[in-house]
Amino acid sequence: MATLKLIDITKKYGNVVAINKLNLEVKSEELLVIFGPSGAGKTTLLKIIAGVEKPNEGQIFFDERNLNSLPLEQRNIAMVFENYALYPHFTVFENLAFPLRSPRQVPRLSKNEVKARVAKIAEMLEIQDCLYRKPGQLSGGQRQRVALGRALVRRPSLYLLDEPIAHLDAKLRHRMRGELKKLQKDMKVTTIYATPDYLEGLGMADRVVFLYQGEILQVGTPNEIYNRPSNVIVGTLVGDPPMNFFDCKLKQIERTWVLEILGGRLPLPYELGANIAKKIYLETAGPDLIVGIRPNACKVENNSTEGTFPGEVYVSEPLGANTILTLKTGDAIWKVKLEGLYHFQVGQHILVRIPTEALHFFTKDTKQRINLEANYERS
Amino acid sequence: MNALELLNVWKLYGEVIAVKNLSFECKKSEFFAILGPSGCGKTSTLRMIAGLEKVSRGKILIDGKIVNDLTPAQRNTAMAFENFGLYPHMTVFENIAYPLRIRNFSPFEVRQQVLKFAKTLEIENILTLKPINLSEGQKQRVSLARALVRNPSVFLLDEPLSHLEVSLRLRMRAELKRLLHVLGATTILVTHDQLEALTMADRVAVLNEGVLQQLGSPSDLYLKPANLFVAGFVGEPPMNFFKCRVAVREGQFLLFGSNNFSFSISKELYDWLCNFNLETYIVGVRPNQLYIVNDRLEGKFKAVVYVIEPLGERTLISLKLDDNLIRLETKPYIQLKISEEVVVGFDEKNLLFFNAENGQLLLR
Amino acid sequence: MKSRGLGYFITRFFLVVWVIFALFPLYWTLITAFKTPIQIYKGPFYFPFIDFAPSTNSWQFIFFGDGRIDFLRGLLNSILYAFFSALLSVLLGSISAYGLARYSYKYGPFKNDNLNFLIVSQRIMPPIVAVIALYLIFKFLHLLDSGFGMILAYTWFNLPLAVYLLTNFFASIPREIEYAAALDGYSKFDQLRKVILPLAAPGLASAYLLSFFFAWNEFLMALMLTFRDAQTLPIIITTIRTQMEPKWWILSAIAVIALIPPSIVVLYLDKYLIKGTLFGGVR
Repeated sequence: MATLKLIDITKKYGNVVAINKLNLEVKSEELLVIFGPSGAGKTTLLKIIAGVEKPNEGQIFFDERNLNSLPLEQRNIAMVFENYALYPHFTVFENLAFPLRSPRQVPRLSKNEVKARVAKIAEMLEIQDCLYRKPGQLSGGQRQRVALGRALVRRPSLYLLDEPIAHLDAKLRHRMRGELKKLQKDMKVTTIYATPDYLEGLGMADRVVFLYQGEILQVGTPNEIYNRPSNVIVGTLVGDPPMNFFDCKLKQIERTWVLEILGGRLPLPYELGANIAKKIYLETAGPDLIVGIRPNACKVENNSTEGTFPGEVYVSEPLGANTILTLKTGDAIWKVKLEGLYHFQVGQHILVRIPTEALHFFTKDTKQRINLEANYERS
Repeated sequence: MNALELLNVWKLYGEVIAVKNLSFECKKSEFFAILGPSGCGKTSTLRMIAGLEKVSRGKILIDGKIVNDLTPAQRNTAMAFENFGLYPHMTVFENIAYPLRIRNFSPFEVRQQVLKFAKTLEIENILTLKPINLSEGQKQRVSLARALVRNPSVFLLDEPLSHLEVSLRLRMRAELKRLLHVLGATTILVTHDQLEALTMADRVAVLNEGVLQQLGSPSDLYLKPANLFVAGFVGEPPMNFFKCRVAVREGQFLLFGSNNFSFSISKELYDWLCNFNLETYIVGVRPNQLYIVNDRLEGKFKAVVYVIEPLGERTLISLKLDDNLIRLETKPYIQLKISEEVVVGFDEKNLLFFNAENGQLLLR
Repeated sequence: MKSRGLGYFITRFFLVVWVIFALFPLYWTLITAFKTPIQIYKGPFYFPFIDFAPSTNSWQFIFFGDGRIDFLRGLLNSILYAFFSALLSVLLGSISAYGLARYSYKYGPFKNDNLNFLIVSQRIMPPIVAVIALYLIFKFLHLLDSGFGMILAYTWFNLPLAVYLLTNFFASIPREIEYAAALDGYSKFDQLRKVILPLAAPGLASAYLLSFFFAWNEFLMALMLTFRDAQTLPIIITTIRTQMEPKWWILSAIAVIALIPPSIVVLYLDKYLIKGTLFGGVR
């Protein structure tokens, strides 16, 4: 049972805190994605787990063994570095074979076995034609694949992959996403995968850790991260285009709960409104809150009915099978994603329906998700 | 008169042909994109338009004048660079004023022009700041203002967003599109990101290995790709391709790829395909045009689930069929297991057919 | 195709003139080695077989004649001292350099940069200042006029430069490559052997070359610290003279021979001096 436990890990560079009291448990054989924008601390975290950087505080336990003082070569971890770290004086073949020839490789492999394994990985990564060239003669994408191959050619206890397919062209990247996920399932090796691309992260993960400025904002399955973002930052960075956020007020008018949003009013189902009111008045004693809605949840309407809001088309971006509209309503700029190709003119005025089932609620000051009772949550 | 015109332009580096017989024209205020993978010749083309490279053969015309022998400074083009290239020791006002000052505009005219652009780009309130105090978005606007303040005939952009971080890139893309539209600038954008080209441009030229593959609007490229390359390059996730033949069996018209991949087609489709008298066809269908069905009769073929990637608002499923991977997009809440066999359906109307020999699209 | 302008020919002309100017001393020395004293004083004669008849009397003198003992001893000593002191400098220097490049030291207020300066500053001081003290130390240790002593002295002389060069070189090897080797399961020693040293080869080769050249051409310390047995070639050269002036013909022959060992070293090490061994390793 290869479980990894990080306890109160802190890492500082001078006065800058890169990782702040981080706690994490990685389950055996899972593919855990560490997702966050650049500068969040993903590479630092991976380096700490690998042993390349030492944390200022905190402990790492792998299989109940304290890793803090274990030298790198004994950790049985394979890592793909962000900057590849290939051996420039070896050919691609030798780069891939190097880990297999190390004294720690148990059981010892014969020359033919090494050759076979290298050939298999090279074929999967489509670099079998470059086996006898040196890294200096390869393109960026090929080098990245050699770095990935060097990690995959082994079967360690833990894989640490730092943006391993970021520099491949779109088609290859797509294919590799699927192949890597499948490979991980077949090899049953615990894997930690860092990426700033949320599609890659959601697609590959068993669980996702959302890292932001050195802190974990949310841990959950891809579904949970997408459908129940724990705060505004998670909602913004997961989703393309990002979730729209509006500052609103919740008021009760006659007996209906109403959301004052986008200069207009959106009535809410009674139970929903009451629930939210209870939560926010308890915490903040005020009617202000932040409401989030995903661009693809909104629909364009022809008639002005309850729940529709006007918007002026600011930018229209056709996207293959979808269209993204950037709208201006009063001072607010927000986005709507429509299925199908539409041609709206800049300056055109349209009406958009905001369905109440698709709303996400957050407190105004802490920007944290307001969790409601089960029957009001999306599954 | 077109703002920019390329007539039979070639670029050779010694023996290597980087650009082969490229011709296109770009109208005033049009947003034109040159799209292609790395090494396709797009950067060479941009540099030839800018005057940084010599044209090996052919002519380039800007505003109707042949510019082949003019230096970059003489061509009335403006170019934007990846990291904006703002002068760090000058204020925003001075940065924007610079191109005018060196061309000996009077101080009055300089002030007038700078203020005009600052107003349009909504940066009047930062005119006294220095670049180090600006946000990325503000820097982009200043960079645009500086490039466009002298009303160039053509504005050239070389992968302006590729170095930006994902979330910032999305915002800047929309911003850039809007700003250029508002300013009415004739823009040529070079990129390898098909999403960028499709969302921003009025028309796109797709290049591969120096050769023009297709020239058209984004929807033309997406709905009617001229050949296999464009079909596979435009659209994310990429299109699925199958090699097939037509056959008649027991009175049924079939499209036959392999024993596992064969399904019946309508008579009209069969007749139309036979017109081309080809042995094999390549059939293309986009992942979002395939769907999973429950009923064998409704479906077209069976495949085995290989990988499931939940992507938030949709789920991407990779299916294995005869050593090929097929990608399918569905709504998010689908329950499937790896190695499960599923039946896949699609609408015949959505299929695209290509000539297997030359890769060209067969038009319906 | 651009037509070649006048500028092209003028540039070429000046280049040729300069080459002749630069190579002339070498040529002159070479032919002087084949002249007799009379031909030298009568001179100048420029071309063998055309202006003058070449003779091998200098060569005979230094290899077979009376000058044989001193010359061969000087040659051997120079070769030994240069070869071994350069080797020691590089070996010891690379150990220090690796430490300074990879680890953080702190001895009281002294950190890496201070230690670096401490080492490199040894060379700021002109050797002439230290030579007298060195003489006394050597006398006390009975190291005067000994090969061992000279090798030690030259190593001391070359070490700072080797450390300086090599520290920079090791520092330029990206750390990630070492980490990758460590994670691949290789001990520090194996990492050094299989990864770091091959990548540092250009640095090691250039440090060796420079150390070798310094030791080969060194005069002052050899003059002060040797009398007879341990004398080097530069010293021998100064003894070849008549009462009035040096014996040019013999000097020239020695000078020509003196060019050979360094050239051999350069030719051998040349293949390690490739640029860009690190290219392609990291992004």
